Amino acid sequence: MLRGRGVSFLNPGFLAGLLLLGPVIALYFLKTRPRTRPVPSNAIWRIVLSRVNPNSFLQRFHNSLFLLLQILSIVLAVLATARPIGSFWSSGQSSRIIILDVSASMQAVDVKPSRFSMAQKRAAELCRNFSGRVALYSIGHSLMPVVRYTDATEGVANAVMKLIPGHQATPGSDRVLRLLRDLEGLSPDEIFLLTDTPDLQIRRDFMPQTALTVETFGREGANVAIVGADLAFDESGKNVEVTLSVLSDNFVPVEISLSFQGEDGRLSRLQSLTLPYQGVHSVDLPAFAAKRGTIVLDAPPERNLSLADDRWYFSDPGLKPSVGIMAPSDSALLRLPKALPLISFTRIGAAFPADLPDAVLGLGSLPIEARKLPTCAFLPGQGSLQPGEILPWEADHPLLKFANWDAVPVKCMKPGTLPGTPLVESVEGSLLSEEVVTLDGRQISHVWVAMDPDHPSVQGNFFIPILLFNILEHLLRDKFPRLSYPVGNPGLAALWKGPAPTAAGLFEIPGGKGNIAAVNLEAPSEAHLTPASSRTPTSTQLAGHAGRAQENSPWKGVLSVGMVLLLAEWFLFMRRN
Amino acid sequence: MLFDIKFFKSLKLLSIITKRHFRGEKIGHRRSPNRGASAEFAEYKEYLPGDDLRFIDWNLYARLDRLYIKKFHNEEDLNVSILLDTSQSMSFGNPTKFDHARKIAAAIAYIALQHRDTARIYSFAQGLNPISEGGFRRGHIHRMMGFLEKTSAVGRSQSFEEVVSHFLLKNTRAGVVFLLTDALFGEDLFAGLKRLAHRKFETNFVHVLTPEELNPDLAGPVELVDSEDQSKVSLTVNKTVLTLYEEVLRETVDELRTFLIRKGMRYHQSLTNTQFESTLLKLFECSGGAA
Repeated sequence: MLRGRGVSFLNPGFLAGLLLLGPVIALYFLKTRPRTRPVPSNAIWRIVLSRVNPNSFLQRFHNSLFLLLQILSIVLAVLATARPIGSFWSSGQSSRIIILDVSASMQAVDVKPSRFSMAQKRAAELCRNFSGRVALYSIGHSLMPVVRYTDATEGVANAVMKLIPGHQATPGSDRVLRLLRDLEGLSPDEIFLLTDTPDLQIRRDFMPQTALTVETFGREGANVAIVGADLAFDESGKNVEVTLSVLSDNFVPVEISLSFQGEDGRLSRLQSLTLPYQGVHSVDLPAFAAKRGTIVLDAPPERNLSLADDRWYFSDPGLKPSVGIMAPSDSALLRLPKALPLISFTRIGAAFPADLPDAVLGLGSLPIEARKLPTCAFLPGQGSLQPGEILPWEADHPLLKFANWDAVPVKCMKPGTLPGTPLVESVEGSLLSEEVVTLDGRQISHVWVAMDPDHPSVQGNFFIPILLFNILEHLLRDKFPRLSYPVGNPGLAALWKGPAPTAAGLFEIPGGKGNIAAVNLEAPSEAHLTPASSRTPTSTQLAGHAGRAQENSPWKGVLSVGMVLLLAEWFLFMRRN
Repeated sequence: MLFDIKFFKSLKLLSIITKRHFRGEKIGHRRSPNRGASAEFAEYKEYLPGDDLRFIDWNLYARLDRLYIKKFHNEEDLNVSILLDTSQSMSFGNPTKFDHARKIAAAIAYIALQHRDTARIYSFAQGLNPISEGGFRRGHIHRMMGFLEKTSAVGRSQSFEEVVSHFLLKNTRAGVVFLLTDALFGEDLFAGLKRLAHRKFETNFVHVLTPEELNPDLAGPVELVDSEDQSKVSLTVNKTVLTLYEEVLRETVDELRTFLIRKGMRYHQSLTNTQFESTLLKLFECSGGAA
């Protein structure tokens, strides 16, 4: 921020726009070709010429009303974009939005204790050190409000500390910027984005009315990772055909080799190649005979600082998972078996079966036995529960005290990591809570959604099947049959030799002699485990530290005057020609 | 048609009055410096042998006992020459300076012929060309106007002094000259005027200008093309330049006016946008004309 005696500029970088005056003046003199005018005689004009030189620069300049207007317009416009502020007109309350990245890679522990913990601490600090209005958002797949604008900064700081990272991937740079752009309607003075995504391409003129600060967490380095795999057995069912997506986060070509590691631990080289540029490369491997095993990537250590994301496990899927549905016979939930053939659905009545399914979906509250399984309960938002269709949960979950879910206090709601959580809002419901409870050493997910899938108002909603699929995939993420997993996926019980972690992040493999595995880092963007060094704030971002209110800033008036001048010039020009 | 009949009738009330008497060629209505046979007594002259005995004033002889003869004024015509500038620079303005000037020329000719003066109209640009033969009858005005209507301003100004020399060769008899021009001749103009004054011509200089010449409607960068020699002047016109132009023009006009007054000539500025009738009346008031 540039400070004068009475006036300062929030975006002093925009003052460089005054350099436009040079070309404008130059172009003006280039473009002003003389008009030919016949006159009776040049005699008098020659005398005039001998007395004064009307072609001198100053004389021409003096004559140029249009030019003067243009110069004035540019100066005013530049001043306006530089956003002058002064103590005599800066009086309102400023606003700040803090966006915390809850994507999976934030769990990385390359900085201690973890990227997320550091970001959390910083977010809380930003809340407590601010006297205006603060809002808190989380960014995973999308931007989610956690706390809307409030003056209670301490409350927001506490909400920050309750956030937990999920296993979602941070969207690409363009989408992040689009999401940020959506916040423009809130007219924030400052936005702080706390993330580990280093490749946000922010233009200098991005959201010029808002000071945007990006703070990144993590170490600088280089990395090569397997970020995706498309595997299929051939017709004989013996050989596996593999197409890998390999990410190189290096600016120089990197030579790598890909090998197959069988269950006996022996490595057999599959292919060697060079990744010529930074980005994701598609690699087709020759078919080889195996039912299960790990594909291992090998790259020079100086180009591959994170070894945890270099392995990809695949396995024959085996049995289908089973899901119990507790709903009336005409419920939309019973249409799921047709839509999801990879899952075995069973309708459960009032009595819970002895042969427990892997997960349960139900309308209303559920029997106590359901607590032993991953469950999702759809609770009607309004009205009473219907006898006979709603089964009693013989427990004291705090949510069950409420029939009107709009009255549920915020403290009961926990920001979820459910994939596609915005889908709940898109079908006019709300995610009441999502929690993981540990029972007999097993971690079990429970999801409560305030929505009735059978309600006439949501019938035919395009998002209902997608929502149901996402919920099931979330509940069955341990057992969902997949051919391949990145190393560290909870499905890799054989590799893990014990309960696998369910949350995304970097974990030490039990008995792995200090080897660390990446868990659920399923998106290419999340393989950027080693982001670049901290960004240097631009002038726009620096403006955010001014701690000012803009409501009474004169920049709009200055800009308006500039526009009026331009119109006046246009009017004069039209009249003259 | 340059004029309508009604206007012609109003011109009958005007006549050209000169400061001094000029010798004429024909019998006219103007008193000549020559003594002649009109009814108006001029002076007495002592009788000398050989004088006409018919003019001896016998009454005076009876009183003074000396012989005197009576002399009478002679009445002759006035030689009125109208020099009309037909250079291309006269074709500017709306109406053009040339249209304005030839109207004045026609009016002067008409007034002259009304009083049985001899009127000749000359056009001058590259040289001197008589537009019509000298007229001295009222009926000659139609012929003169016919010639005037056929004349156009397409010539290119050359030496005004040569024009005057040519004019003086053709007009050995002094008279009244009406010079209708925009005065764009440079120093040559003064030399020519000097020669007219030297030959005792009573010169009325009618400076025809357009309002655009007094207050040019120019702004910004312009390239001015001289209508006669096609020379170009490039300049950026602004308020300062326009002020200076007006100043130079005023100085030029003042210099011309001072010169003319010093030489006993008359200067009259006529703007093309003024009412023609009032211009004419002003001209005759200024040049000694009388209603």
